[in-house]
Amino acid sequence: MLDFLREEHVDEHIIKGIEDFRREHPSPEGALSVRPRYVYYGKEVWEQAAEALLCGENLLLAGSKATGKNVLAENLAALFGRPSYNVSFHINMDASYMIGTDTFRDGQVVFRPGPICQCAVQGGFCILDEINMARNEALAVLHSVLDFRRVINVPGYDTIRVHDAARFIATMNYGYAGTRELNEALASRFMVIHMPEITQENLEKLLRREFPDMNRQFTGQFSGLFADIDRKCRNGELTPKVLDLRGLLDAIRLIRAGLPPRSALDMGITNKTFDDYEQSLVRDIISSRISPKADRNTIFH
Amino acid sequence: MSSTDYGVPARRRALNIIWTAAGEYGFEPAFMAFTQNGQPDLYMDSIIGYVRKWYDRETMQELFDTTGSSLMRETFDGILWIGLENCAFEREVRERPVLSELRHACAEIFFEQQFTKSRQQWMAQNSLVYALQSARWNTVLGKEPGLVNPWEKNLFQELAFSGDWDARQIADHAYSVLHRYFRFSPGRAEHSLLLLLKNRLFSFSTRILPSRMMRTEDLTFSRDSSGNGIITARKSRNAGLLTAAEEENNRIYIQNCFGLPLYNTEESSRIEQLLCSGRHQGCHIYFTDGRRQAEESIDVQTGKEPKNPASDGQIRETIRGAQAQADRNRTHYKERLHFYENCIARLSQQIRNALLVYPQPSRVAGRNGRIASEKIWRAVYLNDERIFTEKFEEEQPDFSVDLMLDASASRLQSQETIAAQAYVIARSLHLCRIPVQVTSFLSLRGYTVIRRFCGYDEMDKDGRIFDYFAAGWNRDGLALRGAGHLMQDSPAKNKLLIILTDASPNDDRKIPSDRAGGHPLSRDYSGEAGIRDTSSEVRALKKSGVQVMAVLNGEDGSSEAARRIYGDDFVRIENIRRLSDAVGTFLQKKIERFF
Repeated sequence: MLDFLREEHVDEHIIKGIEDFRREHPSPEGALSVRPRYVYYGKEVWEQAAEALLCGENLLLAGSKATGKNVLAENLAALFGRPSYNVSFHINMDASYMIGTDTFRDGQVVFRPGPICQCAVQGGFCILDEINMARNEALAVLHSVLDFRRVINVPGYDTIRVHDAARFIATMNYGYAGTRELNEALASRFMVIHMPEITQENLEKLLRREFPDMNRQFTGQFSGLFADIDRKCRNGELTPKVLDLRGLLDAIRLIRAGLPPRSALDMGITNKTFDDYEQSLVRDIISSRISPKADRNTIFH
Repeated sequence: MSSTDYGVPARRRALNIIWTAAGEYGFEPAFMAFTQNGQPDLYMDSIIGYVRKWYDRETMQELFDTTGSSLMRETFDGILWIGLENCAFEREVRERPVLSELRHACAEIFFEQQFTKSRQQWMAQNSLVYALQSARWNTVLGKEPGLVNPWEKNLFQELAFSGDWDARQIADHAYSVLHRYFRFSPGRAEHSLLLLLKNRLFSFSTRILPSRMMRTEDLTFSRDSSGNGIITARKSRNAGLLTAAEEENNRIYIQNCFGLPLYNTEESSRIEQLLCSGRHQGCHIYFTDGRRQAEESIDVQTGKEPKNPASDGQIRETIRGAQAQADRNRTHYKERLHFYENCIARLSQQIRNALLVYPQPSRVAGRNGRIASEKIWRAVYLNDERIFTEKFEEEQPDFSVDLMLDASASRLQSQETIAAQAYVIARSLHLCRIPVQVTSFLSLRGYTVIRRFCGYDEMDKDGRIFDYFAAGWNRDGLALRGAGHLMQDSPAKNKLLIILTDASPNDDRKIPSDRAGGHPLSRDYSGEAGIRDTSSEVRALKKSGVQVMAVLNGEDGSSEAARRIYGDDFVRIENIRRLSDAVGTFLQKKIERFF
């Protein structure tokens, strides 16, 4: 990952800081974070995020769909060489789910730590995914974990100290169905990064890395296709349902497997909206980029 | 599907193709291209966008304006686009290889359709452009151009505009070609009566000839093609003050056309004093629920019989028109009863779901409440006293909804659907026991008329929404002030205002001069001034705690203006039939936020 940061021309001083952090906090045996599936492109965001984490801050990555919030969070855990714990938030999230609850072991009632507790003890990177899906009251238990106190109070058991290397990275998508306003008390415990939409240039890089066998001309067309849809969404001509980076990558995978490009893109992007008119707009964009005659052999070599 | 439903999305789609190609949104292109069956021509519309993308806007606009002012406008447009297609293609294809394929397909379709009737009409009307066009497509297909006449051959060669040229070179070359072949001089304006007549005729003829470039000004879709128009308002030429008699005449006219006022004279003038100030000084606001007195003869405010012989006929005509529209609205609903009942069922289900899903009682461990037997051991062994469960009920949402419908003449074409959709929304909210108030607004003779169809507590009166009819102008800013006033009666803590609008405020009464504000002269209530006024009224409403949301319909109004007025709280629906769906989604979002 460090080599990747150098390729992206991330500030050398930050890279050195990360190397020092890794030396100071060597990865726990057998608990290494898995190699991330995708890498995040965006020098500025990398620098902001890494610097904040080096200073011991927690991060809140706010942004709309397809901005790479989770990719960056996973990448950061891998970069700092810490195990990552993923907690997906939902409406019924409560303290016992996050912190832990009682269980029977060897005929005794003992405390079974939840992901936040495990992460705090192991010094991992805890990814609080879609944090604004939970009720604010349920999140109150996190306050002491996230601020200067860095402790978890488990009623009836000892207080758990949060490991020096532990960091919390929350993600949130403002305005998704089912999301709420994050309350100020919680938001103030994070450094917030507003994740920008992926640029066409970075998307091309991503496509080249993900599909090294794709003809260069087509990486340009697919990234242009995504940029066209993005512009249309921003101008209110399309709903963001069709702005789906995962869908685009999945569609390209289907094309590589042999499906005709138009059908694959329909499945991955166009059909994400159920409005006929919107579908026709998306198909027009696709037609202006990808030939109906194109197939696996023309797109990949 | 009616012809309107078909035309508007096609035009919007063509616009979108052009915008995508240009990489820029919101502008009105000077040309659009459609295929013979009325669908957008993907290749040629993209070419229009690429011309915008690659070439200097002002130079190209000047070129289009110059050819557009010519007597031979149709021929020149055709010739110009044969050249522009070539250079835009050459330039864009470097970045977009699929374009050669699209071009080839376009050429094939051209020859496939040459025997259709409308194509032959076009050929007959402008054989030169047709010959040059088919020569171009022949070369695209790898054939000989097929031109015999040496003059045409030379002209065709001149039309191979190069992709390496810039806008100035293109324009100069185009002027030179037009001059050498047609003796056209760009400097000489041809604003003759004949030209006006010709252009007028031209605007009729292009509309029916598909599969070619069209100037967008000729594409203006008739607003009242169905003959639904009741009043065709004209911008008032009288900007000065009206005499007391004229004022009185106007008031009586409004009262007779729209029904008795909601308030008595004293209350009305107090409200008017309050609301019709600042930018709306000199305007009037008129609240009514459409009630009419038995014989229409006594004026409630003054007790006198309204005497207005000059407009008696006009008033009768309007009332008859309004009644006919109400009948049409009801018939429309009855004919599609099944569809609308489904809509009501779906929307009320959606609202109920939102209301049910979000307020879930939360159970929290506490020191009192209901004992949790499975936790008693914790008190004994861990000294944890929190062995009870407390149940916190989330509060039920306390909100009312105001639906405000634009009833200006721009809605003439879709009155029946608007009425039916508004009914669907009101009915659904009533079924969920949510107080709803439905109003419409329009401006006429200096009066902004706010017609209330049903109030918060009038659950059984929602049928009156079918009395909706459109006429006149829309002074959105004053209407929003009026809405704010009516919303004071809301029984709920949270107030939502959903407004159906085209985000294009436009009234025949000007905004008075405001020296302190840097406007020594009065300004038209439209364009920038109208948008600013409306957006400040929206801000004022939001400040007072009302949540304002807008629904834009179809291609009316620009997203940019809507964004400036309503921020992110607006949604564009392609078809007015989606109004209730859009409102449903809005409500769902807002209900989620209440918790």
